[in-house]
Amino acid sequence: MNARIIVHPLGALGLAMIASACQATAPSPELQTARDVYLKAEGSRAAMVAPADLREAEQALKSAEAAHQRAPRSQTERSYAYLAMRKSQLAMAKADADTARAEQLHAAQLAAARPYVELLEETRGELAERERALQESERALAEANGAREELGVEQSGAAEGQLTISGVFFETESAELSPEAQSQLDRLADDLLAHEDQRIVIRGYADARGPRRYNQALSRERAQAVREYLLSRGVAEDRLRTEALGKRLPVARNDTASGRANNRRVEIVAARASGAAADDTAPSARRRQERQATDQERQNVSGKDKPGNSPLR
Amino acid sequence: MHQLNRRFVVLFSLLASAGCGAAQMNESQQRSASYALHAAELEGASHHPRPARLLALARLEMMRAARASDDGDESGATLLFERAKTDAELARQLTRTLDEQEKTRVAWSKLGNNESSSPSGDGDQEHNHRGGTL
Repeated sequence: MNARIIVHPLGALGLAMIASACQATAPSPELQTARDVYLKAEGSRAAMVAPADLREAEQALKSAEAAHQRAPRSQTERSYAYLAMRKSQLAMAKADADTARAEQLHAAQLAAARPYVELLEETRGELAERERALQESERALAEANGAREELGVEQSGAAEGQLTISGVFFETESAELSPEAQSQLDRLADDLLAHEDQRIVIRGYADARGPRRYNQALSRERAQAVREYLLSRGVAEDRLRTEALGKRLPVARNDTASGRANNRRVEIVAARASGAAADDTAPSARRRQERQATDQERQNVSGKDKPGNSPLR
Repeated sequence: MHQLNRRFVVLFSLLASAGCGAAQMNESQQRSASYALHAAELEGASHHPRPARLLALARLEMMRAARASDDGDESGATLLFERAKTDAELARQLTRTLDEQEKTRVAWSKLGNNESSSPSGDGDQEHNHRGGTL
């Protein structure tokens, strides 16, 4: 038996009427599009950039809705819907133009800043390069200091061929050589005896406490003590020269006890075979200072500033 | 009888003034739409595809509005003049927007930065997508 769908004529008529009514009340495609475009514009920058245009679009949309209520799908509804859509588009176009202008401004600002950015990048590059060089220098210095602490002998890199003996330190207000200092000087004396053309400069120093003249005399006494010791070890007198630098050229801070102990010292600089006076770091300013110190020493040769006269050292 | 004639005259005057008012309004809208069209042309709307189409549409609507006005359909003419004006204004604005976007593109390319976030090319594509009825 075949199943049959029987449609009552009255039912068919009712369905047709309902469909007709639905079609009549459905918005026109123009109105639907206008609603969509308006909502899109309302949610975009257009609401901020072109609020007046958006209000006109809203007004036109309301007119279209009203026309739809009065006479669905009428020409009036379509026309107002069209106007609403176009005015929404107009608002969005204004927003796009505004965005473009903002980007132009941004680009112009970047262009204006470009030379400075390039300069900044160059400077950064130079700084990085200098930082690397500094780190390299610090590393080399640390290695040199390590070697110096270990051996008490440093080969200066600043002035090739010069040799500085350190490790000859003194107690406060004393020019007496300690056993450790004598040990260092023994090694130096052996070297000097093995290299008879080598001349040396013995530089005495003091820490920063006390009067300048007193420190000057004390540093001279320390240099003389080293000289006497080397003479006693058989080093010829004409190969030795002394300089008194007082509290000048400290190698450590004078506001700590350990720093002052490092400054109470004698440095021995081995000059080249030519006999020229040596300098361990060789800056011209330092040489000037040393010449002045030598002059000062000559003036003080009378020995009127004896260390024993000072209450400090 | 005299009373009836007076009423007829008053009614006729009102209708005539309403008709003249509508005609005057349409004349004003026609001028306004014409001005918008002229401004869009001066802006160079005919040099860009979409603004050019909008401009052509606006001209067509102007003609239809004039015809409707001649036929006595003043309300239809009003809406058509308004549509013509709006299309012309949109054509003008789109032309400006495209010009601004082109300037932006040039500015970025001068900077050597082609990664601009600015929309390039025809900025109205988005609008066509949702609302284009041309």
